[in-house]
Amino acid sequence: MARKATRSIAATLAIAAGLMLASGVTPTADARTEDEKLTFTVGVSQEIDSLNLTNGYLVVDYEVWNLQYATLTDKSDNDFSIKPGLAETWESTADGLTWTYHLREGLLWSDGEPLTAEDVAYTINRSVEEEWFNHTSITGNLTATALDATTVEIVTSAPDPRLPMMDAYILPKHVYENIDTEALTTYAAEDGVGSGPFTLTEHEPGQYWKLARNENWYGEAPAVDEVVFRYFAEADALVTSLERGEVDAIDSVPGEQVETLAANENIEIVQGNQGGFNELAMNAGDGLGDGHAALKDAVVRQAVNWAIDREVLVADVLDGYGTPGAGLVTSASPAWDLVVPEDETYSYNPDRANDMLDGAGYADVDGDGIREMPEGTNPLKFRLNIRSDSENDKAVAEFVVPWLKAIGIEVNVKAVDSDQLTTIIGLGEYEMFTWGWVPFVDPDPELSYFTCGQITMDPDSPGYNDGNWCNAEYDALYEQQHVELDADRRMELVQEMLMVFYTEAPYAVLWKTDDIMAYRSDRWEGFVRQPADTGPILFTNSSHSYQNIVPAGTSEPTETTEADTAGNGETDDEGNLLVTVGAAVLVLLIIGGIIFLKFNKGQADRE
Amino acid sequence: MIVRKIGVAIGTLFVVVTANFFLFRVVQTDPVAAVYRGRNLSEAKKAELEERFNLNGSKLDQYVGYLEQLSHGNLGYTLNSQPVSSEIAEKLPTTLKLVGTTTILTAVIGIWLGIRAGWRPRSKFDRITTGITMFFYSTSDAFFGLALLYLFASKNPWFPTGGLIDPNSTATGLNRILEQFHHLVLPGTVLVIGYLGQYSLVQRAAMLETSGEDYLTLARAKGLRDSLVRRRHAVPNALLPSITLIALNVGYTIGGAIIVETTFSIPGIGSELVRAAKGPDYALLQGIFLLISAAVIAATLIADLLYPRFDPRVRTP
Repeated sequence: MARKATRSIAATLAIAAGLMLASGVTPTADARTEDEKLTFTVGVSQEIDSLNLTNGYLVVDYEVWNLQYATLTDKSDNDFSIKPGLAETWESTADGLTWTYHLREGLLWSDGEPLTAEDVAYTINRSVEEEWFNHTSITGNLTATALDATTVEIVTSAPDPRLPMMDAYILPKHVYENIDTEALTTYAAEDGVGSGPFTLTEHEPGQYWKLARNENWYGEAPAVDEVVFRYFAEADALVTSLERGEVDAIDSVPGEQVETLAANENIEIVQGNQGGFNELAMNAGDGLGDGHAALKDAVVRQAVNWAIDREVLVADVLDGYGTPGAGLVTSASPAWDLVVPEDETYSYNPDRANDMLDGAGYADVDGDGIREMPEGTNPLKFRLNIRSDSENDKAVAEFVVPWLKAIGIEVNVKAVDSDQLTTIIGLGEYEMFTWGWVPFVDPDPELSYFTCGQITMDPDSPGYNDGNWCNAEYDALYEQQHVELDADRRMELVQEMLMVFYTEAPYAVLWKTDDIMAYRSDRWEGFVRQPADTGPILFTNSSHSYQNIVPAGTSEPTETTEADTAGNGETDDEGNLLVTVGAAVLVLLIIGGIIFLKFNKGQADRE
Repeated sequence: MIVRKIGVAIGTLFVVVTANFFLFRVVQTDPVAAVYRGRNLSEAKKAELEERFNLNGSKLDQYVGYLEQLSHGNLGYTLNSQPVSSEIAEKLPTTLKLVGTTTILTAVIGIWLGIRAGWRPRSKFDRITTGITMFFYSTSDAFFGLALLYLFASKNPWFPTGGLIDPNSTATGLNRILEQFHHLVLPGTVLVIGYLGQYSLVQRAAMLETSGEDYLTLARAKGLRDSLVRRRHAVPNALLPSITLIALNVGYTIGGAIIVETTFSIPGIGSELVRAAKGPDYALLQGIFLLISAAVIAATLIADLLYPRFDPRVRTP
């Protein structure tokens, strides 16, 4: 018995030794020699759904496209204004309907094939024909013709104030012409043939995707050799990975983690805004459903706006990481934001709200603290729908209920799933709800959502006008700006529209929602905010940061490559060492267990 | 007999398929609108998408369409137009590796603990192991997982924060496998320690029940050693409930460990299910649920058919 036990212990020890050798010694050796690339790793909270431009719709998909595909014209990091892209120059006919773009000489795709006007015309025309949904908002009215290898003529069937801006991704004809309409619907688009600064090299679904520097890109070569995106399903794990240095930047920092990260001297937090905002929407009653009659009256909607303390919401709900809202935001660029005269800006003023409601005849006739309609019936009791998956919405509701109670309005809060909320809005069965928008760069789409035509009249084909608010003046201005080619005049028209929206108040805009990102400032510098000063550094509508970052403390990136790699190597060493220790502990436990067992068995045998 | 059992299994599967179909559609939602929010879709394009995702006509029409698809072995398309079957095939191996291995480990260790604890109830071994396994079994996976992440990835950076492998890793061959193992230690720990209680308790109860049987007294009276009485006479009879449990769990294994996969960013079926529920991506949800149901039903059927081999008492003429 005893002899047998000794033999198995010896065997276990031998296996343990083997394990330690395998895990502890060898991996670090090749990690050092091979990994000399300068890699920038971004931890992301979203997984790629599809890299196919005709299917994908997530922010992470766009980031890959922004890196991989150059566009005819580029967007300035400063204010999204037009910059040369694949095209160096462009000119138009006097009516602004025909634009001719002149491409750079000698453009190449990342696989070495020439990039010509043919590729541009092919992409635009095919996107129109097959209605590629990421393209048609730009190319819907366009027809393109390649005049020669570097000249492309684009004709628009309706005046388009966005032109000559052409930021539709251009695809390689030599790849896509082999994929027919049917095959394109399921195409995985992992060909990695691109014209931007980086192109896709590897995609491990649900885990990570890598892009390598494109040596054929027309711009100045970035310092970074490789960009890696790594997916984390758990927000806390995402933050931890940045703290530990597994990643160099992360796309989002949960509110409760901001303080911890801010205290870390190696980490820089960037609070950037690209137009996102959250609102308390009201049912102005011009659509379907059973919304309260009082909200048809702009005075009541304005009174609600005066009863809300946006400063408190930003301080308490967002821990200060946001900006109190001032009107509808329609563009990623703050240049389009509404400028409200000081005395007209909604601020926390319940007295003013009460006076307005008194003046309009909403008196509390039965003395229960809730106002009635001017005819003395139908108390002002409003349903407020919040999204059950949003902690912020819940916090907002806790503030809004007493604030509106103070002006004689009762609010009943109901938390619903976002999908259910879409349905409730479509049916018009609400007085108020909380949600948010993130606008595009051009204000047109966001402005269009609040035209009368976007009010849902058939729940099966819902529109975007979720305030059920119809205003003839707003609609007329919308049509004007839609075809106004003079930029200054268009800006005036948009400001007028925003002011109408602000005064009519179908929304109480609560705050501008910031994207909170973070990066390792001890490793990297040179991040570019887009738009300047206020925007985020990554996921910005273009790829300026990736093009410009360099290892911290140097403008000569190659010198620090080794140091950086060694740093990474160290973490690996540590990890492997710990595996070894872990394995050793495990083995000891097993040995202990075996001895314990044998010992016990011996005892039992003797019984 | 066997034919009847298989028939019942197929019938159950059909009921599950039907229930899954209508269950997901109780909440009125428009997946196309939800996914393509903010973009200009022409009516024609919208109709084309609805056709592709089988969202046309009444719920009943969609149901008939779904059955028709299924009969051709086609699970439909996800909202981003990938075949559901290939999405599942891509994620299944990871789940099988992680959850399969841990299920076996948990079952073996759990049953062993249960046998020993049940053989000498209220002994020190019983009280300690039952206490510990119960504690972890009643702890939520999410909490346990986050606690491990905090203790062994954040506070002491011994293990990676998630994923299957570091994307910047250059390891190959055996080292790559070891690195993956390193990534799976924490999630594996949650799955093993968290579920030991399930097996040990069932096994302990079965042992307790068996230990009072007369034939054990007889075996002892024959002069057999205690360990032999346990191994040869008590354990085989007390294993039956655990076999059922293993069968059920093998079925659920296919479904992955939703919470653990999410906590540790493991790209398996569980994470995929969470993603599908967010769409909602009906086709993907249905596909995954079908797979889970089929696996559970098949495992139960197999256990059912194997039972007579383990226990002559269930053999019927």
